[in-house]
Amino acid sequence: MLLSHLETIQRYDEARIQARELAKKGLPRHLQSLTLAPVDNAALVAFRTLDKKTQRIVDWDWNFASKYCVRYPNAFDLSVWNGNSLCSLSLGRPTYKGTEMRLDFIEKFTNNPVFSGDMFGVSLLAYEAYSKVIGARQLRIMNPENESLIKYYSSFGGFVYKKSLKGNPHYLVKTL
Amino acid sequence: MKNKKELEEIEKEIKESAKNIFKPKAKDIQKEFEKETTLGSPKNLAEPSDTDES
Repeated sequence: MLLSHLETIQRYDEARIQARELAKKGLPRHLQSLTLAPVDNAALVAFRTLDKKTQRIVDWDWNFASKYCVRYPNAFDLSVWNGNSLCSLSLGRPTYKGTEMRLDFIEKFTNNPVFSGDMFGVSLLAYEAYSKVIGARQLRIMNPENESLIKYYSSFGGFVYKKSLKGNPHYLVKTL
Repeated sequence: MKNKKELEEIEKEIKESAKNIFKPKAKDIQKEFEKETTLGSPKNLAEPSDTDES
């Protein structure tokens, strides 16, 4: 790995930490017990346990997270924990120009139903915080899989649906 | 990266945004929320080039 690439990762590490802290401060009182962390080794170990125990809709292997974050040094990775219980994982990155932030992958684990209905909101808040820290002006939710998802992500307000164009994926976009 | 003053401004904006994000949802939407577990697609990793993004 080039030194400049490593330096970029380290520089954005600070932004990632700031964004998680900002999001944590912004959470409503009933969610203050949650922990916002990177998709680190602890998250991947917890994921592997969940992968064996729980029924999942997708079969993503979250071990790709480390490669994703090396490939995109300005990416944002988030794991949400309730105590020792992993609730959610997500990955995103800025677009090529850096003016928009993409939320590419998110999975909620059903082992922890207590905050289940709030879990996407927690991640959304963190991605908004990261977008603002790095100076991105829009947040995109990439490839929402079906109409139901489009409907309720839109319910957060401010999202506009953009159809797939010229081979690029469809997405929901919110101006920040 | 942002200085302390800029971060304080972002903190205010995030707290304001949180009010909107965590406001009660309509029942049908909330039901969907609790049901779905995923979004996005592994296809997002399949195309390494993002140079055509606006």
